Amino acid sequence: MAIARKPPVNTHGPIAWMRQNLFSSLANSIISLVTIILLLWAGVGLVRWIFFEAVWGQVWINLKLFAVYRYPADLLWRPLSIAALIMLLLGLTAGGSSPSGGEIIRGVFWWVLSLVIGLNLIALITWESVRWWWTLVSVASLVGFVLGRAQPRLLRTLPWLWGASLPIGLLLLIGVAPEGGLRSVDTREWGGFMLTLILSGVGIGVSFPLGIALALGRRSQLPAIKYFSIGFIEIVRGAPLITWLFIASLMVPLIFNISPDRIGALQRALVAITLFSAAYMAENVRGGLQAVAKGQSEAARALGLSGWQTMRLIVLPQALRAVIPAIVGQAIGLFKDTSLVFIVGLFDFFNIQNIVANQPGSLQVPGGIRLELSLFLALVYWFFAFRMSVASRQLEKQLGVGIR
Amino acid sequence: MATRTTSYKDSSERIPFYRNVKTIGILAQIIFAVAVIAGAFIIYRNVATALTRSSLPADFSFLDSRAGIPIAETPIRYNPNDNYLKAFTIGVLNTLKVALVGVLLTSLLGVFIGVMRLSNNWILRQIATVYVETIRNTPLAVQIVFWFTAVLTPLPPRSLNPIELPGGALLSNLGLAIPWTYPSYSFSAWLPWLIVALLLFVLVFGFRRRQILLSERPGNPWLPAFIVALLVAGAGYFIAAGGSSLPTNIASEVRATSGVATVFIDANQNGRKDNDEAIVPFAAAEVSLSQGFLEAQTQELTESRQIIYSTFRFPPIKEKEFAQAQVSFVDPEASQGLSIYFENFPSEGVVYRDLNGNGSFDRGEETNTSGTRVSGYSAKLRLEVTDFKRRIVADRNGQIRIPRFSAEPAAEQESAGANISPAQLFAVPAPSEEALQLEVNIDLKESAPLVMSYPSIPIGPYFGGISLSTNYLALLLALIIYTASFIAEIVRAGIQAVPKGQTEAAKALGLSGYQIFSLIVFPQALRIILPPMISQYLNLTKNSSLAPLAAYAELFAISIIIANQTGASVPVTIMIILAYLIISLTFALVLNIVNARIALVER
Amino acid sequence: MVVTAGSTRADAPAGGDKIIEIADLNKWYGDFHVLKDINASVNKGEVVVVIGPSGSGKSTLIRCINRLEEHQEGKIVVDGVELTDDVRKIDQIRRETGMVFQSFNLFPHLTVMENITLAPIRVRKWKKSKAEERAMYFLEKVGIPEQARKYPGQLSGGQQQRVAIARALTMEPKVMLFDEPTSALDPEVIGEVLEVMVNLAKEGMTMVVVTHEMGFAREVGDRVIFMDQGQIVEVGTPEHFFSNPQEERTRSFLSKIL
Repeated sequence: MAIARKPPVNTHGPIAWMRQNLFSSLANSIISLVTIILLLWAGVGLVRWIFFEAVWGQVWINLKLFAVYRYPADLLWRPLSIAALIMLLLGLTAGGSSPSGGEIIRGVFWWVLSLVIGLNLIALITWESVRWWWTLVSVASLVGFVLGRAQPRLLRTLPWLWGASLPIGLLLLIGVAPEGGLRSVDTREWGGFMLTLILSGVGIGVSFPLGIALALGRRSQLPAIKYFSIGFIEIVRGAPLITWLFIASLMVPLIFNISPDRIGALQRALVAITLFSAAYMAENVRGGLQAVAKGQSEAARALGLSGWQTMRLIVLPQALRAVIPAIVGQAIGLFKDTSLVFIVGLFDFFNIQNIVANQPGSLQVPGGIRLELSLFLALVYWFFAFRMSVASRQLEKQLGVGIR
Repeated sequence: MATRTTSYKDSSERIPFYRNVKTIGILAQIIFAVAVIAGAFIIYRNVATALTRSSLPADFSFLDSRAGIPIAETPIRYNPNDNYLKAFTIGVLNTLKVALVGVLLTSLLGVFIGVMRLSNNWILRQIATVYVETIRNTPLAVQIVFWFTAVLTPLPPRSLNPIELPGGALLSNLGLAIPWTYPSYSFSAWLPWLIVALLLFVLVFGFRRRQILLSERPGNPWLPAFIVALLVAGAGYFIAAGGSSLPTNIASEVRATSGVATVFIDANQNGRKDNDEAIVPFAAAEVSLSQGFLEAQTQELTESRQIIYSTFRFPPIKEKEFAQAQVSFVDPEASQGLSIYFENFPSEGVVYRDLNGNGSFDRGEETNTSGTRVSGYSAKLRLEVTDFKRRIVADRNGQIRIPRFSAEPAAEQESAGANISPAQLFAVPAPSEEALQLEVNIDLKESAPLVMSYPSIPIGPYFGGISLSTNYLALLLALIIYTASFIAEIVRAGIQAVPKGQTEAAKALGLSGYQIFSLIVFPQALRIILPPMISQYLNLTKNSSLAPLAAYAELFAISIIIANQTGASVPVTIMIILAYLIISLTFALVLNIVNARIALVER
Repeated sequence: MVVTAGSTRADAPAGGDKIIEIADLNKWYGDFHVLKDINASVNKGEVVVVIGPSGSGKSTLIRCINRLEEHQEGKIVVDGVELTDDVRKIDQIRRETGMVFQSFNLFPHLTVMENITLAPIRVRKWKKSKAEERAMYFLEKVGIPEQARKYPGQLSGGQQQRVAIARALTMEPKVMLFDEPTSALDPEVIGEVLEVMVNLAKEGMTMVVVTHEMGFAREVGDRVIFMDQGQIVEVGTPEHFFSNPQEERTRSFLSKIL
């Protein structure tokens, strides 16, 4: 029996790797060298700009504005305790998920936690008023994770906890008392990254049931319901979100026949975002419903389940499982698209840059600080969107394997 | 087993209506319809009362009234006195302008990046991956603002000091001006040739295709047809160019006050442009000026973040074109101690502070070392020009804009020129009485059917070539780059989706690499790529509604202005929705046609 | 029997006109040694059946013959042309060898007729009418002339594989390579494909067949080559091979599949 030999050409080591991947032919070698030189040149330029030429001071002193806009400084503990609650739940989910299936959510958790801990360290050093509240967020995350590890049973209550966190959070932000620490805060004072998260969270959260209803309506055999759903979905998807935001700000006061001052820009934006998101959600869910084999509902009906039971117990769970990656994708899209609320005069994370850029301190910087602002915004949006899209791809892969 | 044959129909038992499958359905629909109608009615009533109370326009009659909206870029002629409908139409055209160009360019970039992701070169692959992962995970809005406020707006200011790109294009904070060809008056002589060329193209193509069919060999019918058509069109071009002469009675009239000359057909030969006389667009002319004065001022400049006093470039005027020139600081107080070093007198110079006191410019002295911003050092150029000559092509309105020369020099500022090195100081002579009338001589030139118009740097707005504003460029660039990241993924997935076995089978049959790609891989990949690509085109078009971020006047931006000016919320809402619905439906139609044509026949 | 590093030589019977010669062939996938010192040859008109467990390298071997896989060591000569990095030689060899794949690999965007005539027109530079005429001839031979205008997607697996055979034959190759032609087929249509192959063998076509169909090997095979772990383990006539295998590995393989 012949003994396996090593191949005559070395296929290991950095040199072989470079030969295969960079210098496999003359043309490739030239391309590689030119691009390496260009990349080095661009990299050096970028590093020099970031560390020596850029003026980051204006971004640094405006971080509170970027985070919460005009939310009262003495009430910052409220958004921070909501952050703690959400991180607690995220930690619970990550810790409690099964060793194999939870890899994806754990990846997201560590990613976000690294940011939280980083901010916590900064808070401990310089942000005196909120340093312990930031510590609470970090601690809550870790507690959630450990608790989830120890008591995976808690996982079953998680959907309810997540669902409850939305109204609880909003209530805490709005405030309940006329005065004191729990005094109410006008939504006009809301903004910054907090607003971006509220818009995307409420948008996805509320549009989820609406989208399912619309998807079922579109597949209904009753023409009235079917055509209403189709009409709604197609008209809403026909025009871009920014136009719906504008239309909502024009039309909502008219539709309810109230004076425009009595309904805030936030509420109007939420109406537009939710309905818009619901139309897209409906199409995603419909894709999932179509993916469920017809035999499934036939088997369920044959077992004597009612139509509603079949839908709720057999078809929907399978359909929704199949569309999780698409819904995550939609959430990423919505997270990015909340930047369009500038059109109704809201100051979300994106729109804060226009305030900062026009501050006297920024105008004094020669050439302005638009470049710094753009980079900062892009980095923050990217930090979340990129990690989510990685998770979405992992989910797709995992579900794909699971189905086959 | 008992066999009961009772069927539903025979059953004498009456089913209560609330248990009957059919009536339940009908009832549900009725309830639903009633709810929807009631909701619609309430909305209608509310809107109607709100409208009557605030007496805002509720129908479309307002469209006919004067808009008064100034729009910077208009594909067709427009002035603020036109009505709202015209303004809205401009918006639609501007949307199309950004969408069509965007679709074309994003396809090129997207395919390029997508193919790069499949390259066997590791670095190229990584660059493409980083591109895709960075761009599509950053909001488009951020990218538009980046291009608009961080890249294009800070470009060298005004038309005086643009970046000259290869090929004669000019880039500045007013946008990009590129050379462009226009049909001249002799284009009509060339037109028959073009038609003949087109006919020949069809004929040769048909003939070649028949020949190929008869010879039963693969062949390319396009190339010979194309070559023949090109030859004929080319020959016609030169014949038309040679045989054409200026139209009779063509004349030009200069309005010295505005510096604008109009080229027109002087039917009654009175030397003046009368109202009923037709203009001649795109005529080439040699503009010469025996004597005139010109004044220009640079903007205060700071280049990048190293604080530099100023480098400036005045319009490139050749040394023999001017008799006297003077450059001085606008505000001598503020520019105390500053001097100007001319790299090329008088067009290019550097403002510096003579730190070592040797009286001349040394490297490093242009940098402001004090760390505080200084202002008031912008410089003013005064020229007295003799024998100025330029070839200028008239625009579509037959107008030739002459650099803002004046017949007499502007009033001199006190203590001007105090900081100029004496060798470069020219005294401006006092205005003479005769010089009050600016003498411009416009010599219209014969030209080929197409004239090339180059952007030049006169003082004032761009003139010549074709101009793209920074607003348009910012939106276009962001849309192209953003959409390309999605198209790249579609292209990559499409090519990867063609099974490896297809290439292997083609190889085994002896097809060459090019044949494998063009006959086997590409047609199959295209079927997978096209449908999602078309929806990306639709996305690009819909995303052009982010134009307000770059202050570009497309349909949504103009709709906002109309709604704010007229308060016509309901009509404008309907107009916006309808416009985008039509766009979406058009794309859906194209998608359906494409899908039907490319569907693979399966069992 | 000459033993080179443990691999058996599979030389064609002497006196024949050798059309494929493989000498000291070695191939690696990365570090994995897939083909070890293969020596083999095939005479004109011979039918050689290659069998062996999956992963034994038998598919890789025949894919090396028309350079769908690149070998690192050794020599392959097809019809007097040595397979090197020279594109012209690769093209020449591919023109003269037809190949039938396990998964058919018909081009789904072309009709059956276009699938078959594509290479003759583009590679052999035949006139279309000649190509179509020859295509019909071979379609009739494989028994499905009526399917010429259909698309592959409209045919059954067996029909598709017969089209693939016709496609390879229309190029008038000197050698036909079959890479597990029946493995992806439903049991009831395997017969129709095998029948075509048997007829082809009887007409004197030179064939190298990788297959698990022992019946085919017995009926028309001139020689059977058994491969395992990248080596040729045993070579012989079908009678000898099936009735009296010499090697232990051959015996255990045969006992598992027969």
